[in-house]
Amino acid sequence: MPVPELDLLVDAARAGGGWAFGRLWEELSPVVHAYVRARGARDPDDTTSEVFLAAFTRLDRFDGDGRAFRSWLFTIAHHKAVDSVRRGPGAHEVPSAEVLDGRTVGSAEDSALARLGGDEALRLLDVLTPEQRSVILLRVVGDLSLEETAAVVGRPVGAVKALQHRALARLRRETSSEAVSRDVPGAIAGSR
Amino acid sequence: MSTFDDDLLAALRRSTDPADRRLADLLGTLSPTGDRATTGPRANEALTSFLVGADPAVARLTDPVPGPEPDLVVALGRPSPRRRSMRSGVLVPFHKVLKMGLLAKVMLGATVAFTGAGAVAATGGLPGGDNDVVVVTPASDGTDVSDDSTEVSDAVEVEDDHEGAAHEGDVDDGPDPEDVDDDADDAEDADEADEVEDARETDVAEVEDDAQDDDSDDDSADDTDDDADDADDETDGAEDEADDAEDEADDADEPDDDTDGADDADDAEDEADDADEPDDDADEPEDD
Repeated sequence: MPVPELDLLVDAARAGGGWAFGRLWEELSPVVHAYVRARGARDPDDTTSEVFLAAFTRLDRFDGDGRAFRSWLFTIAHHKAVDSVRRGPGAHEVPSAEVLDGRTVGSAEDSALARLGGDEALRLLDVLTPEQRSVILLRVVGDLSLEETAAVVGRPVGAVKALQHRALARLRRETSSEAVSRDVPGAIAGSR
Repeated sequence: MSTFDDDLLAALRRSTDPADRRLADLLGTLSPTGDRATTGPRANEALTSFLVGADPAVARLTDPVPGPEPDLVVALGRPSPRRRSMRSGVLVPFHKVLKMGLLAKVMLGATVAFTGAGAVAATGGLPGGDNDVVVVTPASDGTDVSDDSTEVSDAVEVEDDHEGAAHEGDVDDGPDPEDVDDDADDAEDADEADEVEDARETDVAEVEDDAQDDDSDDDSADDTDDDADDADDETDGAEDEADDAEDEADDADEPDDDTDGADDADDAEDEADDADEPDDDADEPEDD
């Protein structure tokens, strides 16, 4: 969504324009939902709704433009996701394990749809620590800058840079090992 | 947005390392704006109620969920109407005092002084022994002694005009409708203010539990509104009775105006007596 349009929506909502709340929900709920789901919230739909309800009811205390509103929204989403994870197992953890475990997959179509849904990426993120996972998700899904990510997780920018660096290194190793494990059977078959 | 610090995904896609490009492809599937076609999440009941209350047109965008009334949800974000409470709590009794007769005002003053002294005695007295009739009551319970005193004086006035004597035992009969309205307004204001404060002050970590809590608060607000309505209904009868008593008292005053002729006759007799008196005075020197 273009930032100027987001600025207009935030200004309209702050001025009491009821229509702007619905438009903000339409525009930003998919990314917030993707973040809380990838972060392991138990009920991503309900958690996303609570994030927006909290933001809308306290909008009079918010001061900033559309970009700042987006960062503020992810701050609320981050805290709610952390609380949701503390309360119990995440929404994606059990389904993704079931999907990626070939013994429990019902059909090839289900597996393909699950992979298209990003479950492979979610499983890949499971190798990260919670902080590394939050940083990567905020940077990729939230499209936040390093400074905005640091504000969301409440850490210095230098610490966020270090978390991102270690997370990327871990993910590179993971993807490389997966690629090797996939290529080896193909190489063996080709040699035959 | 194209620098490494600003856009991580774009930087990974530009990398010459195939592992980075594959990583970028995988992470890109997490974003709803990426290759994956996603539908938006479904709003829960609380958010749906809020959105519908803010803009009824939003109801078309969300699932129809039978929730609380939209006007109740709108009230959550509405500032409490304190000015309305001030008008009914202060100005209305003031107008009542202006319309009182002299005797009623005197009795009102005495009642206020008596009630104030009682309240001061009940609260332990004022430090320093000031003579100001200032009644300090706890603000949280919504009681207003000055309003109660006005209520008492109103009842006294009606009794005085109607029967010619004030019976203190009848003072407490029936609540003043305005005071009941004021209490109801204060209760509504307090609840609305509490709801707004709760919505504003709730910590981010605590908001998860607020949906059910807000529902209970809303129910209590409904109960308060119902109680206020019942109080209004009950006090309508008392107000009518007070009006009838005032009308009868006015009717009783009217015969006094009609008997001005009798007063004139009495005056004529007095004048006649006065006319006789000089004769008596004139007789005295003769007696001497």
